[in-house]
Amino acid sequence: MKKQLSKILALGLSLTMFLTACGAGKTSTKTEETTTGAAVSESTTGTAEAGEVFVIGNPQPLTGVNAQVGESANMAAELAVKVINKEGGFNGVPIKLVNYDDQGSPEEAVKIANKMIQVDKVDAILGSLTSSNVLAAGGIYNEAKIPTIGTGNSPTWMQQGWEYVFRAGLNTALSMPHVTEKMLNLDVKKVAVFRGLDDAAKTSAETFIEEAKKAGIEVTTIESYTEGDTDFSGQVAKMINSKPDAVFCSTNGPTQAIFAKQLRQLGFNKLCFNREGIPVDTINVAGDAVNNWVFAYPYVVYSSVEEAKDPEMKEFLELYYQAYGVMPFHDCAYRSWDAMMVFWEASKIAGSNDKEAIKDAISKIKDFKSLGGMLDFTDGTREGLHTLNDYIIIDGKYLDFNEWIKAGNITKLAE
Amino acid sequence: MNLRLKNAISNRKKDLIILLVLLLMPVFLNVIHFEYAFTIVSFIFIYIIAVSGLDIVFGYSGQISLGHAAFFAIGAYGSAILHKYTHIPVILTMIIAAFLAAVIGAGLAYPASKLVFHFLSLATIAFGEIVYQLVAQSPYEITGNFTGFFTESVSIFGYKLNTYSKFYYFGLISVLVFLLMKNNLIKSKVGRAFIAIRENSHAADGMGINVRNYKILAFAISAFFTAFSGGMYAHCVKFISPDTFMYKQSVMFLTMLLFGGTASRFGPIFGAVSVLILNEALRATEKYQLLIYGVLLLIVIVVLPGGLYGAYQDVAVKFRKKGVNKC
Amino acid sequence: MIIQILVSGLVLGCVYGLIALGYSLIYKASGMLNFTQGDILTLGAFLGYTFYGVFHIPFILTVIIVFIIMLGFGMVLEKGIISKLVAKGTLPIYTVLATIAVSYIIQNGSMLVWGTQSINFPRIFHVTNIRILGVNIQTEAFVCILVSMICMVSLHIFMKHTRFGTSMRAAAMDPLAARSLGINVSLATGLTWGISAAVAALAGMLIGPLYGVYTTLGATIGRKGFASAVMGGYGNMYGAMLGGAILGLVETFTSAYISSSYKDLVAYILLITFLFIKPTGIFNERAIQD
Repeated sequence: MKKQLSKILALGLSLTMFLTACGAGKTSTKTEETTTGAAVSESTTGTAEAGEVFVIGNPQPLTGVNAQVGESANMAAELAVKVINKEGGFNGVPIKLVNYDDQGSPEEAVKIANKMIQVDKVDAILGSLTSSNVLAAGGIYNEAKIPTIGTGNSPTWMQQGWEYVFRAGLNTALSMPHVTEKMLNLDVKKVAVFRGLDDAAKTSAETFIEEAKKAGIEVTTIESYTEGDTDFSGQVAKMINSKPDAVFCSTNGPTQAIFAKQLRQLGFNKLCFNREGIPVDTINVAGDAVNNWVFAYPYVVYSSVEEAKDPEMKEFLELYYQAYGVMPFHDCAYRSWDAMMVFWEASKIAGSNDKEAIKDAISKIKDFKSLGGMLDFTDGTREGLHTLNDYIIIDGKYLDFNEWIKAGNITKLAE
Repeated sequence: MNLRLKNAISNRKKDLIILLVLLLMPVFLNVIHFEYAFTIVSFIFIYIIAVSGLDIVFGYSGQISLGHAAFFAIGAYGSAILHKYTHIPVILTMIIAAFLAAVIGAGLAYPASKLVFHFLSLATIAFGEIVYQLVAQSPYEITGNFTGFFTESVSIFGYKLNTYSKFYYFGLISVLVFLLMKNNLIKSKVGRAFIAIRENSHAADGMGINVRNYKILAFAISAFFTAFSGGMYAHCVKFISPDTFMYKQSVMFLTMLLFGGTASRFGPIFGAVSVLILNEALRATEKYQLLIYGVLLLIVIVVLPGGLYGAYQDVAVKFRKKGVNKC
Repeated sequence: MIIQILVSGLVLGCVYGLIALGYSLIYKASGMLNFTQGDILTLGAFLGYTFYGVFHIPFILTVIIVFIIMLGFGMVLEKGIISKLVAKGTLPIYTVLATIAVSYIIQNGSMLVWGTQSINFPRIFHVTNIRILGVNIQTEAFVCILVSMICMVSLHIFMKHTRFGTSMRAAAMDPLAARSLGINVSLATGLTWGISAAVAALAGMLIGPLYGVYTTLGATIGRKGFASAVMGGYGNMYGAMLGGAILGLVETFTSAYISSSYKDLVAYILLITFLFIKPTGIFNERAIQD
């Protein structure tokens, strides 16, 4: 018995020693890394003083379903770092990103959150684009008093009352009343809902259903799917049988295209509404099947710089294309860029890089032009974006939905 | 006589020193500002218990399970939900949930015990998927479904273990208790029956061992271990979501066990530590992680079928030649 | 509408069936479980996309090329890893875990090569739809069902009525006796793994145009394929297809008439129920119990 205990203890001890050694090794390499950028003092308070680097933690999914999305978000964020550092960084302090792969898993998100705070001593956090990960880790960021801008779309993590957590992108809850209003204008009275079960997709669908009730729109059926499914004909059949005037769709990842294909294949040709922007790869896979899909969103993903009309967007896309030779793959790139710009603006307003000051300064940002439109953080909700645009997809192109209606296309569709 | 006494004393001394160092480790970690180590060590403690549970059913009694994430989930959600609605202290809910998992484990093992190896793995996969589906799409959303579930931290006499450094001691004590429990179990009559079944179930039957009952018992005990660690996980991370309890988690447990070495006292420790450290080390390589992981796993399977601990023993045997104490 | 659900269910069922066919074949020939089938399906779909969609090689030729590549892949997998482990006398679970490791490698590897976005697999036929019983059926869906049937029958004939198939079965039943009869046991088992991989890749190319191609395409299908194999009777070719068809239909009809939330639950409950109550499956295939 004693011997066992001693062995177990010995093992535990040696392991912990090993771990610490590893850890110490890691921290030292870490310092080397940062010193190449600028001299680093061993300050643990985290406040950035002259000669220091302002570190922004950036957890994003880099493997799994959303890997490419996370990658394009990181490319935009790195681009922002370059631009900001060229202009002198935050109040003269150069900034740098520490990128992590949160694998879209909340467990990883929590582990990374602790690592960023304790090992990397981050001054601010950008991301994740996975809402459930912000939900899991947001409490940790908030407790550590680190200004955070999440890039997920879901309302839930902003409802936790975390005063250090902000959003510069869209809150899908905001777009739902907008969508139901559009439906009413188009005389849509019955809607079938198709939704995913993850936090973002589910919450959007729930908000939509609530808003539809308020607007007097009947929800004929609510169908769901689980990630990884490839066949939705059962759900589609049920939806079509309920005879809706339109379909509202709240999905993620590759599901969108397959669902659109099967919906059209089984003969539903009316308008479909999507909870968020439809990315280019969905259009590529689904082809004609995403014709007449409508969504309310701040921006769309452009396939060339010329397509963009907004000057800010044009400028960003040009920079991005120059740097990488490709166009942003997903609108998460816009979200990360906007978040970085908000941090920058906040550092200017605060006049210091103190976390507390930056947090307070974000709430003061008003009339700030971003890729998604005017940002205004002054209403105390910590949400910056309050405006939307309407789009419809016709033959693989994003068109302005309101102009499309004005041109009388809706009656053509009915025929 | 004199020598034995001396040995005993020096052993006790060694124990005390090691215990002291483990107890003081947090202070040291705090001094060098490496608080993050607590996170990893806490996860190591949790996984050691979970993998030890799997070792009882797989390593000792020779039954495969590719669904242990289900017991992990039952422990985590069981305890969290129980605490939310009854406000029973967290440690108690963890134990209750672990007992619940043991009962469910026995219920699964009763029909499963007659299946051969391969099909037992399929049955456990199905069981794991069913539990996952129920957790992810629970009636009345009592598990929070895909949105996740915030949990309370463990509190002992009103003292909340709400940071990883406070959790450290709780984890350390739990690991010691569970490892001693496991060791005593293996040395007992029950443990010998498990091993007999693993070696040859027909012969064991002939020896008068009730094979089926012992198989069920192995599953139940194993479920208890893994579910308790699930409870620890839930109240340590303070947020759970179905993602953590997917099929790949079951594979992870098994990987840790095989990595470390099966049917040994230290295999689960070696496995949990090496795989978790590997995960940390591979974090830098981001998107190649799964690939490297697969390759390393393959290498270990092909080159080191005894796991790390087996390899360590081989080396130790070579050094010591004779008179090794067998583990 | 019901006919369209039926067809969708059958297409899905055929895909499960083709995967299950591979499981049965491998089990019959070497008594092993193979967890890579689902990811081989993904790999096949990606390869098919590369040859057909990127290099514009005619589809039939693409199928043949990918079939041969994956046949080789399966054999290399067996020769390089599985048979080595078996020769070393390691526990069967190590071979199972080795296949899981390989499936991780394929998943991550194909992500690195083809990226994570879903890719459009171009249409195979110019005719979009075929009209059957007054309902439009996508041509690819129809072909998927047809090809699966052909696969099943030809594999069955191959195993039961050819010299090679007989030697494969003999090798599985009693490798020692088979070897003494001059049967090349090693080649026979290698070939079964090859054929299974090739069939899975074929399934991937068939569903590519229907579902698009992405890295996690085959993962779920692979696991549900086990349910099909067990339901039909593990090791039985017709059983695998029948089990697949049942599973596909049950899934689609559950989501159409009950609730889509219970679809996966039903699939796994079917698997566990069959294992516990009727482990020999519909076709009463023995050798599943201890």
